Amino acid sequence: MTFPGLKTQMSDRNDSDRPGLGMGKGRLEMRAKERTILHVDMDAFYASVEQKERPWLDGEPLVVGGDPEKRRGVVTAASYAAREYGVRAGMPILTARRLCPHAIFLVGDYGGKYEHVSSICMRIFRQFTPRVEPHSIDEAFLDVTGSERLFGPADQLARKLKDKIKTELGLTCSVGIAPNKLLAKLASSLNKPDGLTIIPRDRVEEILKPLKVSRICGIGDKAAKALCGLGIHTLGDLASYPAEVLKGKFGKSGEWLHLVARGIDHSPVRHWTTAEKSIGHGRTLPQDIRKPEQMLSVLLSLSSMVARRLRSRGLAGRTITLRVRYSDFMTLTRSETIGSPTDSEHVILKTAHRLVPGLGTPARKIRLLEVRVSHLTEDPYSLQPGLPLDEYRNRKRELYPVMDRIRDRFGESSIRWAGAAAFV
Amino acid sequence: MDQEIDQPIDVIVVFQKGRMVPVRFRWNGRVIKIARVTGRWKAREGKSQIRHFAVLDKDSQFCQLSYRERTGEWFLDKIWME
Repeated sequence: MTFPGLKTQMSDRNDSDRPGLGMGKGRLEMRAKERTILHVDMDAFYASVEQKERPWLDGEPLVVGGDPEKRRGVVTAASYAAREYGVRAGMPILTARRLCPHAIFLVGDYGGKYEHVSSICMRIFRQFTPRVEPHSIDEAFLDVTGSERLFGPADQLARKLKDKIKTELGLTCSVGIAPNKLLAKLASSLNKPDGLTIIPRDRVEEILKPLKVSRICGIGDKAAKALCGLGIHTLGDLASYPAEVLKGKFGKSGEWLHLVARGIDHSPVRHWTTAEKSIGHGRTLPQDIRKPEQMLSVLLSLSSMVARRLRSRGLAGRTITLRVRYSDFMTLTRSETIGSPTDSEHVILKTAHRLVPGLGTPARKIRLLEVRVSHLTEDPYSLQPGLPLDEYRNRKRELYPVMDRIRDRFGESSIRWAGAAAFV
Repeated sequence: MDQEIDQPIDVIVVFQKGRMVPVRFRWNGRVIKIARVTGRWKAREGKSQIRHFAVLDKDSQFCQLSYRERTGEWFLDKIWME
């Protein structure tokens, strides 16, 4: 399946960040080519994986979510039977219980089960095209522009893909087919579960016009509310709104809104891996904490996890960011950029600790802490060794690879710094 | 709902088409015959690989087993309780 009329829109497509493609003839030909993009969304992924293991739960209202005892009490996925009662992903478990008290609640298995099933899904997708961009654990974009000669038109290809997923995993998925990622994602959401929706190029305007602006991925509640304030409710309203006014009100996002209202999206399917921009770890604490020593203990654990991941990738970073969420859900984020890149948990800890608002005894109880390192560099020579006098620091540096090797062999919980919180 | 057990068990395994398939296990003096494997996945703990199996017995009772490759031990991770 091809979508006529896309050629001119592709002419300013920006894939300058795409490796391996020069500005020669081949690239120009690729730019001019009409694309066929699939968005595959596994239906109620976590809940469906659990239902497959426990067949008697099929068709039952099932809620998979965090452990309320550990206060990771948010719905990760709800079966379609639970969704009929208003249960949605991201909702507190307690709210889900109120909406659907007879639902079955499962904590979920976060030890690799869903990642394993996801990896099989991605492997199946790659049997149809090498151009697969995982969007999350249960979603992916596929550029099948060149696959039609092997598998037939895109709708046939999509049916084959759905059959394969069903046969090999016993799961269903919803597929959207369109000339770009934006429309493919929208298409897959229009007919769920087990749907197959095509948005042909010549029907984009007609399909988009009556839809609410919030149907577009990237327009959240706040943006929808702001648009509503301008009298913009549907994508049709947005398309007819003057571009200059949108730009004036929303800046760069205004330009984007103007494009998406017309179904224009030039972003490529990023099937290559991109360098990580930051590495972080955060935890909702089992109990709210206020004592400085408790906070230090959690920060040491988080810093240690971040530093280990940095070292395992041969990276170091200069900017340390601390995110604190208080018991009243107010969240603060603070950053500090240090002189030279680090992969040391003690440097990260020291900086993160400096960033704690109201250092000493915080005024309010803390519910969540997150430590993140960004401005990453791969250059190992940028790591400045400690001064000769700084023997204590150097001895710690010698310990890091030893601890890393112990964890590589015996697992993450096999060794930790004295004083580091055990629950993280 | 699931109930965590996390106890060592004895398991009889067959290998079918290169795959490890648990067929029976003994827990608390009872021998439980596995009727169906409904899920399998792998996870890592350091260098050691852990193979997890979601299984049903003849009464469709759900159990989750795991095999730790490093030590060669089997565990009953959890069972379904009404």
